[in-house]
Amino acid sequence: MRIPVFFFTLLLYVGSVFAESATTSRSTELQEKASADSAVLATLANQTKVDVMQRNGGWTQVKTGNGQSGWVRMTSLRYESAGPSTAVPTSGGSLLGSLATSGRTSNSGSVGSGVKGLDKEDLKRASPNYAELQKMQRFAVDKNSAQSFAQKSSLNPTNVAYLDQNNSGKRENN
Amino acid sequence: MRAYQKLLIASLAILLCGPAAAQFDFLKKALENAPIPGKAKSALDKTMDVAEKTKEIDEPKEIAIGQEFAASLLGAKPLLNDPALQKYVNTLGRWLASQSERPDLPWTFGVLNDDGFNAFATPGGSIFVTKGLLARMRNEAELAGVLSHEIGHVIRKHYLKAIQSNAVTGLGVDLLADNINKGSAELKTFAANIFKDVYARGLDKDDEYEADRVGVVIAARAGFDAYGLPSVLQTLQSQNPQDKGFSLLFETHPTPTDRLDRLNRAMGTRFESSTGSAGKPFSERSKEFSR
Repeated sequence: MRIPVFFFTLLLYVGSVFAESATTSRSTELQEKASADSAVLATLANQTKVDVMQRNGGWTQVKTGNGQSGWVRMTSLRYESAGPSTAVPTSGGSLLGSLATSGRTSNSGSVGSGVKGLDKEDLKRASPNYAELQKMQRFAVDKNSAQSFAQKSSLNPTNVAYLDQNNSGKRENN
Repeated sequence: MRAYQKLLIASLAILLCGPAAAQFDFLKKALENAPIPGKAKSALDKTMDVAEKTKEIDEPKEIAIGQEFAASLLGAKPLLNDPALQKYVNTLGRWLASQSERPDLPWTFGVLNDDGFNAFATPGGSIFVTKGLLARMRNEAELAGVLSHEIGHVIRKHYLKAIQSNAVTGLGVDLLADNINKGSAELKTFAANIFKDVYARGLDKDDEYEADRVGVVIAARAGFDAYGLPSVLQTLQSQNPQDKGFSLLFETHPTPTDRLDRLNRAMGTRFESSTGSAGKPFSERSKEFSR
């Protein structure tokens, strides 16, 4: 039997880890842990170039040019203005990256994706495809299957209130 | 369907192509001159009111309109032929949607065979991500953030609002909603025209910001790291808006920097100590869903 190689399975073969580069967009404290009350190791000036190691919640672990590593707030970083060739497959976790990078030079800086995505003209030309809609509906999953997926994945539901516009954290109807 | 309704829908379908003010006068004239029986006249008056104040569209109608839009989007780009991946995204998406106040909508998720980076929602719970978007996700929490943003558009009815707030489409949407299940060709054409108008224009900026705020909460409720969506926005921030793989997204959304700034302010320190999951590696999911 011929087994087609689907996009999903291609994700398996991209595992190499590269560091992403970023630059601080303001003066930023380099801290020991991903936590506001951890020790401050250094203060990074605005526009300091760093290598990105990993992200944890609102914090990103970075390594500076002189080899010092620590955590900064993720929002204090701007990633290199580059195409997805650096933004994507270099992050280590992007297993779908093998397709994303095909036809592109890896790690070569400001390279665009080089592909045309769905655009306004495509939308304006579109006529409804009901057969495709039916096909899509056949992949729908019920609530119970979704719940057992979550349990197996240790995705524990937690009670979190909506953020209202004034950030008072008021709870809405749920 | 009655003749006056046909006339109205046909007029609206044609009018969607021209400038709005002129359309409105023309439409009024057409309606005044049409031979309309008393009962129908009052129905028409009611319809005219829709242009002034938005009318509640009930859930079955919301779903029916959304399915017309979903069919149109699939007419622009078909699904990616990868059943395991489609099943995975549906399962993850349904888990996320289960955390909303509308868990029982017919939530359906699709991966479009498109190399660009985008995601879409239609009323009633059909949600789409492109192959190009999936390829750029660092982890499952990022994908959860994107899907939750789209779920936010659905539960807050942003697309219905967009249709109703447009004078011309808003006028017809009530009739569309009332008759969509009857499957007339005019109505389907009308729905397809509204789709082109609304999806090429995009939503109100404030609705995008709201979907961001809803999105991080839905993802967190589902057990994910709340910073998945901000992380995706940070990736977009470094992206060239002119890049043909990203241009539609940039044309129809506020800038990633504005979105990040607002979202960051709204999130404050509430998620600082959260223990949300980054999710499982896609390699494991691939094995899990290819069985």
